Amino acid sequence: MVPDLNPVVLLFASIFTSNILLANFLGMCSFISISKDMKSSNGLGLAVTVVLTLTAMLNWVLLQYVLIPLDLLYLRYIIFIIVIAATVQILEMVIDRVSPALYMSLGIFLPLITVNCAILGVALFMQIRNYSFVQTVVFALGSGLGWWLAIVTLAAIQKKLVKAPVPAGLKGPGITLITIGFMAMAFIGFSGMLRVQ
Amino acid sequence: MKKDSLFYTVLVSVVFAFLFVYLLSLAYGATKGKVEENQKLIEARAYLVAAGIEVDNGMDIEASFNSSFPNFDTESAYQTTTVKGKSVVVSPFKGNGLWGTITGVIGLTSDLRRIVGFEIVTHVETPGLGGRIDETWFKDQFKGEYAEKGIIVKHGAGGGDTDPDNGQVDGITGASRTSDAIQVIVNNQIDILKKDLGGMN
Amino acid sequence: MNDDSPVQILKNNIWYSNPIFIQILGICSTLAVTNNLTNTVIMTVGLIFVAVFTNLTVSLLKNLIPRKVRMILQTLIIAFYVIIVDILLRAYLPEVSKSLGPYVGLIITNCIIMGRAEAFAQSHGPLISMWDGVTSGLGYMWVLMIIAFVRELMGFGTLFGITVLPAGFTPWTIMVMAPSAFFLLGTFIWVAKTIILRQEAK
Repeated sequence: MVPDLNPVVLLFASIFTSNILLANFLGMCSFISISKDMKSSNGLGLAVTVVLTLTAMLNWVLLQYVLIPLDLLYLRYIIFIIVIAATVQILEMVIDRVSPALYMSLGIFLPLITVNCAILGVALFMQIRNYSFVQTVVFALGSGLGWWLAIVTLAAIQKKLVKAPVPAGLKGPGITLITIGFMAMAFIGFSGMLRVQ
Repeated sequence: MKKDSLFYTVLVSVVFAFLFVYLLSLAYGATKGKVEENQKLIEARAYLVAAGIEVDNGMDIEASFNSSFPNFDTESAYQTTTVKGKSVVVSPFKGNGLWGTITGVIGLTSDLRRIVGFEIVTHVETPGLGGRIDETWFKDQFKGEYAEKGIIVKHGAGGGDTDPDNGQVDGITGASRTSDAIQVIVNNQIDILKKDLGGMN
Repeated sequence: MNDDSPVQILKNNIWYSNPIFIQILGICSTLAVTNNLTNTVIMTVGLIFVAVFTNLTVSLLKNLIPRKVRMILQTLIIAFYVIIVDILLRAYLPEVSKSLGPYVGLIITNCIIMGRAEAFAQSHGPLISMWDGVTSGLGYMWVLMIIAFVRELMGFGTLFGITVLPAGFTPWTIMVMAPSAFFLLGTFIWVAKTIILRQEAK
């Protein structure tokens, strides 16, 4: 049964109250390392959003028209990953052609998007919650935007943190994680925005 | 054969892919029967629990289900059975949880005044949070709960409301929306039953 | 630290080069289930299983895999074992499969498995690679279990589902929700790093 979710509510929920990173812990690896630099964060955020939306749509189509009818649901992990890897590969080539400068700055991070848990995570959530096509697009777009918002905010905070007197043991990943914890708490504050459908 | 040649690369990739898919389809085929059986057992067990029948690990769920529900009508919204001499109405429910569908079975006394049992069959709520609706302490609260005016799922901390007469159960800490969803789903189902059974009278 | 003896590998993976608090890898998939010790144990055991067999397979096949498609084939191998775990759980432990939801599938993108396959299994023999898989998994497991211990105890008053704290205890709701995992992990890293820095200073 496709859940009865208003797409607008779903969009806001996936950006704010159920942020793919701050509430669902997905997409952290590259998050922590990239968020040191604002420009790469922005670029990566955009790339992740685009990849998320495209792959979610493709995966939904494959799921509904190939995997389910042919009783191949158990292969979904492999199919989803292949779709994601292929999309990233193609996106890499497109970026390289359209804007070599962006390609240079994103560098190694593009292939990393393939193993970004958020992308596979969104596909898996979409499948397990039985979303419709519209819900899938909205969910993926919202998750991407939420991730982007989180990484840019973290980059901005990190810029200030660099100058702060942080104890040696806490420097780097330690303080970053605690900062993310505070951000997660702040985002919980958005819960009042939505009511049970 | 040169390892870096395109031909070799494609060959290896294709061989690997085929091999993996083949092995996986074997594993899947071998367990498919068991998975379906598990699903049926989960549903049958839910009906038994909702009817207030004691279910323990050793018992033959299928046999017990067949003897309790000999005339299972798949078209009807509810089934009736007799447990310990009393008539019980058992009904499967389906509704929106926080992100996806929650399904389960609820049982009520034939006058629809008290809940006899409550069981969750499927849900996709957050593990450890909304997912706790599937925990024994949560579901046990519904047993014997006074439900004539509907039930209320309380927010905030609670380890399980043991008072069956207050029409209230404790919700899940940190999962207020899933808790609200359960309230809506249960009350809706009771309303549906009131209409159906009221019509019969 | 380049000594590849089993004991050294064990020490590295459990402490000096711990995947979580030193390499900061693979926190994605499993932090989500750390509000509950039982789920954490099951997820990490599943992860160890996948890591061990992936390392074994990659090590056995390393001479056959062409470089260009190395990463995607490794991903396929990982996905294969994760699917096996998923199928086994569904068939033999359906309750567990129900409560873990999509997080089992996310073991595939867990950077630790990919990282070890790439960094270790590609250049070592099968048996030692399996050992590396086990120890990496254990290094991962003990950190997460400590976090889960705190979260479940303070958030629910239980451990492994058994009520431990007296009824008068008011649970800390924050422990049940996402931010606590970040705080606890950050604090853990702080403590571990401080200890390591002190050791190095001596």
